[in-house]
Amino acid sequence: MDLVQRALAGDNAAVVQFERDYRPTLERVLMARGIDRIDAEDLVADIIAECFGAGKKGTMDVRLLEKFEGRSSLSTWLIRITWNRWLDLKRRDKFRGELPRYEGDEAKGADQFDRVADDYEDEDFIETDLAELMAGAIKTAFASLEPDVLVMLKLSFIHGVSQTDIARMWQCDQTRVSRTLSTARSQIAAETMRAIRAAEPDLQIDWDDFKRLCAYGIEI
Amino acid sequence: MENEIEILASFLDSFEPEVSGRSSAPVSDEDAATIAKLAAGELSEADRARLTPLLASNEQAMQQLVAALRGDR
Repeated sequence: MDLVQRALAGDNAAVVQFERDYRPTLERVLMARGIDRIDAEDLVADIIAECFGAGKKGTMDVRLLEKFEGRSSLSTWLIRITWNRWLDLKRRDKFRGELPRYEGDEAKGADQFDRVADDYEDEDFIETDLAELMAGAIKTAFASLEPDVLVMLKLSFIHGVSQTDIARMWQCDQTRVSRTLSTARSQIAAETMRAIRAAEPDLQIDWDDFKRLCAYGIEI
Repeated sequence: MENEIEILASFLDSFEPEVSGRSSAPVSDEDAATIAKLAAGELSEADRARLTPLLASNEQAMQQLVAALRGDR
């Protein structure tokens, strides 16, 4: 929070440090998804400008960075914003050509895509949308496992119980435990991705990206 | 954090119970006894099938199983 407070207070060194610390990370997050460098740099530049109140339509009433409440790490918060902005762009692409034009739009210089953006640029969307989508997908994937398989999985990977102990409890050989765990991990990956694609078909996220985002989300 | 399942579970745990689907309801004495039998490797397949839904959804039950396993070593 200290860096945020200092940057918002106009400390130029803090602003420079903020940009140096986070711009490359945010650009990498986007480029890892196949977004080209120019688009990634543009999107991140917009977000950083908005952090300090420079919106596309002029000075913003509330600087984006003022909305950071410290409930997660700054990097997590910024990554979520970046991903949500990217989702927003994907949604705009989806709507392209389908947006209604209203009488006087041209005379007023109105941009029909801004109408879509306005629909999404509320605080709740920024804070929770992507994270809740991810949590829902994980929950769905865990629920797809048989209860005894889920218990084996949790014992092994979360509580560090050995496969030997699991085999003893399940009264089977360790090979079966090992095979069950391997299959379960694959199923978790497949079901998580299936749930993500069902909820958000335009989000072309892969399993490695998903795990990386989860790791960012729990503040590694 | 070393493995993907732990990463996913930790991410899910950062949400409220209604989102993550976890429960921490107290474990009954009967269930606690069954958990101890599982830890000892003495639970039949049928009884294990009855117990695992509780273990899968109730963090306290899972913690009891892990504690029993550590005590058994």
